[in-house]
Amino acid sequence: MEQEYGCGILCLNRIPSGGPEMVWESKEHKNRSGLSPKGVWSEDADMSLKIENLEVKLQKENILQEISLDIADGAFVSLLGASGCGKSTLLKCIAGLLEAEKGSIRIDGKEMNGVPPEKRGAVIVFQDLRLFPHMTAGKNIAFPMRIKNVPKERQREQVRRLLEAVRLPGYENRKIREMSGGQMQRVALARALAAEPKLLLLDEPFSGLDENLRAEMGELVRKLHRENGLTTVLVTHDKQEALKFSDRIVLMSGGRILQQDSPREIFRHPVNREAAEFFGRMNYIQSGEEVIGVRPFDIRILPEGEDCMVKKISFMGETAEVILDTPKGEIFCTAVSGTLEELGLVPGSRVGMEMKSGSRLSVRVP
Amino acid sequence: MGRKRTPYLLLVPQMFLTVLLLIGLITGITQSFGVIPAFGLTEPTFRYYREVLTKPDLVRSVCYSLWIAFVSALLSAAAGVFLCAVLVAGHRTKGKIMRIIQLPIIVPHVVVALFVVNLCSQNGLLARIAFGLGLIGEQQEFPMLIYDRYGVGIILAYLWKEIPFIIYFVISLMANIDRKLGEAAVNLGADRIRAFFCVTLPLCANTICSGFLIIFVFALGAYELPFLLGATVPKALPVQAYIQYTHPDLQNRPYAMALNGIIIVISLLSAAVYFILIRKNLKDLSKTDS
Amino acid sequence: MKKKGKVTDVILAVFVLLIVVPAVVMAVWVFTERWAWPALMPQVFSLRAVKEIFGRCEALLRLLLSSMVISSAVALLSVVIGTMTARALVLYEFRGKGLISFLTILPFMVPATVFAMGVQITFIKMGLNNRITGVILAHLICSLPYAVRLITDGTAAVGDRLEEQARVLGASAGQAFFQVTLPFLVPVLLSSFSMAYIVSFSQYFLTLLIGGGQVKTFTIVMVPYLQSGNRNIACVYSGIFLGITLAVFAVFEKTAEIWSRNTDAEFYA
Repeated sequence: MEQEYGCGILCLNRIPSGGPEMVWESKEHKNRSGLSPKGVWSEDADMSLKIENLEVKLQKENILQEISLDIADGAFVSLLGASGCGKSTLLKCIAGLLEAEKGSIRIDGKEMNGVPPEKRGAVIVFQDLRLFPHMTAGKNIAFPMRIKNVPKERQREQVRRLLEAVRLPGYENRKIREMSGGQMQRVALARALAAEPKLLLLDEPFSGLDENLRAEMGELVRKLHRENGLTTVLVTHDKQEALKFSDRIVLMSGGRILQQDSPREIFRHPVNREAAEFFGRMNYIQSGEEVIGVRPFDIRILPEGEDCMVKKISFMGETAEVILDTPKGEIFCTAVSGTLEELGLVPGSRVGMEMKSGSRLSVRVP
Repeated sequence: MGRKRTPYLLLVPQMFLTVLLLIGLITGITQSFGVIPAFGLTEPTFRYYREVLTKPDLVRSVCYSLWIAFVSALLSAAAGVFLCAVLVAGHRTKGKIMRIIQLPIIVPHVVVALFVVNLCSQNGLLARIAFGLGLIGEQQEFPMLIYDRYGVGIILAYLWKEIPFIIYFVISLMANIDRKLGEAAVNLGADRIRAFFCVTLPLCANTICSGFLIIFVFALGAYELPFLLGATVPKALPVQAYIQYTHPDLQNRPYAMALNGIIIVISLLSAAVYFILIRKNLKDLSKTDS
Repeated sequence: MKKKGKVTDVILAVFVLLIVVPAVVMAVWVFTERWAWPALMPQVFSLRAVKEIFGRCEALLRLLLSSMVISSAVALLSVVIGTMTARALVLYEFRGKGLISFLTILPFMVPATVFAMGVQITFIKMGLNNRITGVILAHLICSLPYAVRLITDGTAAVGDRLEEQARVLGASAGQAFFQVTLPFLVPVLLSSFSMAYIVSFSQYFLTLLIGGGQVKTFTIVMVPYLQSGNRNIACVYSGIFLGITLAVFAVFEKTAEIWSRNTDAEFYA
């Protein structure tokens, strides 16, 4: 389902219509958050999480290979990839629920090999939330504090504060099965925060929600991140979510890391076809010796010109997909549908085309 | 590293008991080959098995036990499945009636023997009813249902106890299948009875067979009922084995163990089949899950 | 449709009758003084047999106590060990798992008689023969597979999802099990306890051989009365023990029911 939403068009169409929202917003967040850019890009020693050459096998099958990863203190990083690429396994490994075959994981500079999950300070919010159904919302949130023998009075105070932070004030005595999906999500988030983690790991926690709620939850997570400066790793297969929220995206495929970069970099300069196509459809155009990749929205249809023919137009509301027959082969582009109407394009029209400047991607073609 | 050691630590007490069980089995088997160093017997030999399988009264014991076990298991399975089907068809798979049906499971075999004596002996309630109805003229005319050559009393006792066991064993699976697939089959045009035989029954077959095997092996090796309700001749295998076991002449012990050996061979074959059946079941289940 | 409903009702009614009648006849025998052929009802009722047994109050209490202590100990150990085994088999991958799961159900398939005659020598050597501990150990081997089977299903249904969550939230392995998983296992553990109790309670041969007649349980005491044709005493003993077992079970079942309701245990809904 999500996969379809993500498939290029919907995500890219925002560029011409509403401005480059996702790119800008991510930038803004970073600025507003007041996070020092220290270590977000640099190979600084101030790393909250450092993974070196990790390898994981389950039932003799290689699930993760050659995973090396540095996450700076206070950063918001997304692990992005199709389902089955090993991102959830990596999360469980970091939290200590799975043992690695090889390699090392360091949290705040401490080697985690042999450290049990409860002593790692890495809390997962799972996709299925895993709220304890025999406890109320308040008891769920108090659970990590009860384990640590925090005084009752302080527990109550913290629960109240956390419920307010996730905008569920007064829900202390609510039973889990009496709550909606979105409310349960907030409780799960509050419970994770109650454990005062060094590392917050979110394993696709919003995937069960409808789109509006998902966006709202995403904002909430981002806000909590801003306020607490907590190092956060979000596992997702939704590229929009990743592009919108992250300081950095780690793109995974087949148990390996394909590329890790800022959202803008990874979108603009994917290292190969697979990385490029993960964020949307690509046109590959032979240009002399090399092949260049061009995103569909980076192609402009020109009313003047004869060398291209409109082969097919698929109307999609605000935007439309157009397939052009060009001397360089079939090219796929997206345009604001209003523009197409102004141009009076129909299948069979002869047009010209141009690539927007700066749209060339440095795609290494294997 | 901790995770790798944990399962073995958890299994320590289980393994202790399993080892004890295996010691019992292996001791029995070696003794059946005539190896009991304590009694000065050290040469392994097939002699005892040969004798056990050729002595007429012992051969009759083997046949008698196999007969009782097979008939009890077969009738229990058949009647149990039939009643399961009736319960499912009548939507009575939960509630009071199931509670009553589970009652025999908690009654010890010794008490069941008492029940059978109360009802089926020549002095029992059935004989009295037969007399009252004028079917028989005097006590001795009532057929010998207990202490008889065909083990009727024993089989009746097993049926009373094991039919509910089969129901308990099969009902939830059958109810599930019926709920999920029965409707589909009926929807496709099969009548209820055809749907039962073509869809529900084949899917329950493994579980039913497992239940059959459990009862068969149990009835083959159980002592109480043949001891309390069985004929003087022939004697059931376990009864015969115990007599040899407690024989004042200790040289007789290998005979006991050879008789037990026969039970073990049949049991282990059944165990292997049972295990294959449940393994297959587990695999099928996980297949439909994913 | 209506008609078919009636047919099934009749079949079930006959079946229920066949189950209940023997128990009722037993109850009648408890109070029977004289029941001569060919009467359908006893001629003389009395409380002789009941008085006789309750007259030896101390002996009866001792029998009740030893019987129940043995079966309860067996049941408790079955539940504890069964839980450990079930967790190993359900939640972990390890070498030899297939073999071990076969060995756990092996006692289903090895008759107690065969096992008892084979293992008696070992028990004598270990000094366990004629002792309550020996009988408990022997019964445990027969009861455990039932507990393992039930608890394995229960553990698989509960899974380790919630335990994993508890671990990352800071709970140790023990805390996670006791605070998160155990509440959901309680109903299964109670029924395993009941099942193991019954299996132990019903053993005759094993108790006879390993207990050597010194360890007295209900079956050991009852069989001689049955053999000697002293039916009303046998019926009184059976009545007392079945009554107690049923009462204990009813309490357990009720407890399990209330517990599930209070814990919102959706796993067994």
